Amino acid sequence: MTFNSFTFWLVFPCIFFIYWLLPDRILGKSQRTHYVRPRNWFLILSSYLLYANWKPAYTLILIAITLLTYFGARYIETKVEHRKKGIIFSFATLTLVPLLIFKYYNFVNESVWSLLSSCGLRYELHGLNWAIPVGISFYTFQALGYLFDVYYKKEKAEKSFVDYALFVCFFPQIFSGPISKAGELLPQIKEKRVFKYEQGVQGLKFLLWGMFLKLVLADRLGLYVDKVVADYAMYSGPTCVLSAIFYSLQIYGDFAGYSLMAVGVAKLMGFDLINNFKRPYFSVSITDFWRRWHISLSRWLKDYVYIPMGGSRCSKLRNYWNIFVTFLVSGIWHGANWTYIVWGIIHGVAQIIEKALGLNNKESKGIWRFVRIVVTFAIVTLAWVFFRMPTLVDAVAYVGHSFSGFGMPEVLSVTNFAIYVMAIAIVLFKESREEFFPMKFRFLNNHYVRWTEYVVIFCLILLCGALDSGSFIYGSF
Amino acid sequence: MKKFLKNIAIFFAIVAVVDFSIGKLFHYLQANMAGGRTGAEYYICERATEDVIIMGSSRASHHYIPERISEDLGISCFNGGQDGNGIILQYGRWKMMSKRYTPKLVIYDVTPDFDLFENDNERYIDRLKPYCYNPEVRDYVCSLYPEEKLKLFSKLYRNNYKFLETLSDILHNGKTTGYIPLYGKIRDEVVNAPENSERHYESPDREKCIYLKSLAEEIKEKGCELVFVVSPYWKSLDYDYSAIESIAKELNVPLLNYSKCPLSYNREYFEDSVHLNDKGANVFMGMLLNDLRQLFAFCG
Repeated sequence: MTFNSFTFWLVFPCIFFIYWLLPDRILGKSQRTHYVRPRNWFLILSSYLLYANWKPAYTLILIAITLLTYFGARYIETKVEHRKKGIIFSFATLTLVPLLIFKYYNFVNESVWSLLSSCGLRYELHGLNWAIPVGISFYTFQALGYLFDVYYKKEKAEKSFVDYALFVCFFPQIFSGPISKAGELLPQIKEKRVFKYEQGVQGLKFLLWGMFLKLVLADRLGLYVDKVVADYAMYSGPTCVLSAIFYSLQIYGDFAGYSLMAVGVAKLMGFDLINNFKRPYFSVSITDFWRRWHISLSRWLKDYVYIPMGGSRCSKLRNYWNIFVTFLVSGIWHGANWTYIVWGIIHGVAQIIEKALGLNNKESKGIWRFVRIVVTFAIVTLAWVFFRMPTLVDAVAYVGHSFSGFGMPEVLSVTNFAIYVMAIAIVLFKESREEFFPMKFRFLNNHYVRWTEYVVIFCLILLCGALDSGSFIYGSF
Repeated sequence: MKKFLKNIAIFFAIVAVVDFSIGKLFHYLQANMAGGRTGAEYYICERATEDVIIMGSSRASHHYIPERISEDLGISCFNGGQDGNGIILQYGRWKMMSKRYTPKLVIYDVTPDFDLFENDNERYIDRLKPYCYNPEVRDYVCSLYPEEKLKLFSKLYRNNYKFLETLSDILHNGKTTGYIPLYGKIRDEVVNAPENSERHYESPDREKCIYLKSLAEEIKEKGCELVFVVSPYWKSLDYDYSAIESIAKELNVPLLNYSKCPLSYNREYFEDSVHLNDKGANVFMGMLLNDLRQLFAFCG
């Protein structure tokens, strides 16, 4: 059940009221359990029910990963240093098994089969015709991150199984992140929660803006993109370029919209989750882009892939290799397809070049900053083409076709186009203001102007949004 | 919490007022629109009194020329074809139309993708939502999708996505007969595709078949004539018509299938593989009118 489904918005108010009506803690009867936490139990129940609403059997995977990492972490903590390496390797591999089977088995099977066929050998294993459990990459990485944190002694192994189970299954983030760290979320699960007005209002604002990004910007642009991508050879080069730009905006609206809604829902339940986006299309370099895009994944990859490999505290060449591998892992994490791997490689190579040229941390102002933003956006958009297309051949053909012919791009539908222009203008204004002129347009902070903005945004969602509960792009990762 | 809930209540109260006011404005615009898509839609739902009504998808709106029917048969005609739609929309429209009057003849152009095969039926109710002030339509929409009962409280939701179309249609003043001519020509790649190279044999959609049957039964009950027509397709397209054939046979409704007629082999008559151009529509009209004269006495 996703945040843009009507059913969720029927169910969520009930969850909200029951949650806040329940006492935070009740004194336990035995000495061993000093108190029980009805709200945490209720959140676990709600999270599992919402997850089971999609495919009940797949909750077993969620339970398995929770049990494995909970007991794994406790076991690691008790072991002496020299034996820990083997144990963490075993538990991490076991935790990754469901992800590897569901997400990568078919890909590896097909790739090996085509490799063997090209050598004249044919040995075919049957593919799995199973749906990938929703959010599996997100909760597996979150649980794995906790396991590594205990291994690196950044965190102590959690004693309360209930608290840990909630950390893994917490419904606002289970479907598409953000990937929280144990150090951020577990203390919030443990502490006494009281409803804070400001936090609740902030949550509603995030929800509203997230909805706008998803339903009005992403899903509407998706109509144009889907049409062009499905039959790109029939459209002109400029139309393909426009469609690629629209896809960059679509995936941003889709994922940032989801993340904002997740953060918003969590705030309404009294939790603060990490904000996954910080105006990524105003980045001046690819390195800067990854500080602003899917921040929780970038942080995960940095902490558990890049730094353990040596990070930047090594030779230049080794550092470049570390960057390359990190982004290769990022590509593979996104999906079992060569297109994602190439997408990851483009980002990795771009960052290596930036580092070699010293552009990664260089600040720019004025026109030079603008040029760098445009160049970064162009590279990111090119990489998104590989991300979007079903095969590498299609992606290369699409890029080639984009550079053929001149002229104005096709509008396809005047009504839809008017909505795209309006949605893009609103998003651009809001984000430009936050990025470049945070102290200007102060009249927008006026109480009545803000309320007008909220009402207008809400009405625009009802009038222009794609209200048919389209799925989230990152929901399939 | 009290302040929080109070502010939420105020917010939704303001939204409700805005929603109601804008909804009223759109209803006024729709009801007073002479032309454009909005005007044509309102006309077919609330005003049409023509003897012959054409129903179907974009193929209906591009293939049937009401002026030709009126001239040749001496009876008035309106084309209510709607692109990207089929029986789910047209049955709702029939509910509104039949409450007001009974035409002499309904020509239903069958497009397998929209009238027979399984796909997402939810999108077909979109164009009925602005008319949900009508209890029959509202009940029909809610019987298809019960959650709409709540959603339809919002008038903005009813006009979701259509509001820009409504606003732009203010500029279109001319009254239309519903026919939308096409003047393009079919592409070489499509022409060179071998005959029947695009086969579509999909399982029939239970819901669509039920409403096709209900439409046929209700039309007959009202004493109106009905004819199912499959207008020409380009030769490379091949569909399974067994579902409509069995419905037509069961209810004793004539079915005229021109899907593979001499027109299907002449590129001069096609805009693309599913749509005739204006030239093709004129030729097709000649064939259809001849057959209608033989089928119905009042067309003689």
